[in-house]
Amino acid sequence: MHDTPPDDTSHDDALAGELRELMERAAAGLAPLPDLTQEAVRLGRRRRFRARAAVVGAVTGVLAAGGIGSAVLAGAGGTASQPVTPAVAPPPTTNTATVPFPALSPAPLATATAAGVSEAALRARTANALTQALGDLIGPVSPHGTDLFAGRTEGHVFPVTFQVVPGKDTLVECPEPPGTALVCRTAHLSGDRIEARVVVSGGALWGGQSVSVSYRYVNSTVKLTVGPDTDARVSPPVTADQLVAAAGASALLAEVKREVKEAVAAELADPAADFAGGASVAPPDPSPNSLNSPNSSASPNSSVSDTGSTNETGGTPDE
Amino acid sequence: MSATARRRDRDFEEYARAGGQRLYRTAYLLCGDREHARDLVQSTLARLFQHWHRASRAEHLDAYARTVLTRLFLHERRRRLRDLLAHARPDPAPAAPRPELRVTLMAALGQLPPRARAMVVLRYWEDLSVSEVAAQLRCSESTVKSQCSRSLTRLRTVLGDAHVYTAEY
Repeated sequence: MHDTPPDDTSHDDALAGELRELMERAAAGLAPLPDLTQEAVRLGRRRRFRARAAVVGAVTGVLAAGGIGSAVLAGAGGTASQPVTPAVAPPPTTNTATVPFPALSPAPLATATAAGVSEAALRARTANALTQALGDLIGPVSPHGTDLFAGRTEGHVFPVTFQVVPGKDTLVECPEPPGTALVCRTAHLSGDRIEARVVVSGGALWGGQSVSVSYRYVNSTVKLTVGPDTDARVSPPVTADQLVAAAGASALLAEVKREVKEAVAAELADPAADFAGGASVAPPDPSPNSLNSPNSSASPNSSVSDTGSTNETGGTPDE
Repeated sequence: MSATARRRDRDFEEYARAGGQRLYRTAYLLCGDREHARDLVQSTLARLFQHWHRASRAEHLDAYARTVLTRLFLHERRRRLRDLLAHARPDPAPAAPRPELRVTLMAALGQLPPRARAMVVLRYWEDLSVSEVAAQLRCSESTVKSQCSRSLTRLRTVLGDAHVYTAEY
């Protein structure tokens, strides 16, 4: 240990030494880590591809909006033969940090358009599948916020999360300590072919109960949760069995299959080839100042986010 | 794939194989669960690969990787806490007393809040200075000092004079 703080007492130092020894022993007892390299490369490629596609898609949206705006302006005050030009040209900028990727070339633009459209289409498609599976219970489901869905019925809004997470993410966990869940058990979907975990937990103090089901499908983990209307403190009118049935509904299973298939397709696309020479999107900044000591902290502010979520675009862990 | 990209991938793979075990140990001390620690390391490596062209330029890549790991751990704990708050029953029944329960280091660490636990692991396992821990967790040095001191006291209380086992709980 270096740099002992002045207010660390000798008692603390002794305890810290003992603690360090215990931690050494605990860590030494670990079995060797299996080789995770290939899986990490696969996940990293997927994250890289998605992050780039998402940003390029967003910019495409902006460009498209600009085009629409120009068309509107042209229709309002100009003629078809008169190009609309801005009254004041935008000032030139040299701040490349705000331009996270190079000028769009036709190939990435096409990819981006597809990605940008698919994001909205994906959400609508998922909402439609959720409505088919849960609509009888919580009303029509629509996109809600940036990554949620919500069912609306009888004046209540019940948040719904639906994730197809690449990889073997953990299933919805039974709340700890054991026994605090109202329900935490194994269930089966799709004619006993898929084993799932269903959890009902929460209570009045938490604004109502939540019902969750999760299971593994091919190489992904699927999580579906219906939460309470916390403003009204009303639990969703969904039982564990009903949610299991909804998760096993053909519409939702078809949606899961589509998402898994799309994830595989995205993975097969080689981002290094598609974006050769392109800068990455908001990568961590290992500036020399922040990494000039072996134990110094880095600044990978934008490098971590929810593991493999279908909505991930490379956010920060503190978001 | 270009030769440069292939070389970059090869560099990453070399680093991942060489540094994975150390990350795994830290991850295990942070989360207390081998399987979860493995997942944390995998996520960390995936993020390193995602930004490898920048990460590889870091003068001290281990520090960079550790920062990613720690923030990822805290991020997941926050997410789990939100789930727990949404799912937990308000007044859980107290666990039945189990006098035969062996006190373990991991169980004791598990009683610390995630951020305090991260401070303890970074400070005493990774051997970082107070200022380094503060920078990594984006808090003040006085917070690190007071949290570490409080955590040590709490660990002492939990561990007491009992025989300490380091088995996984």
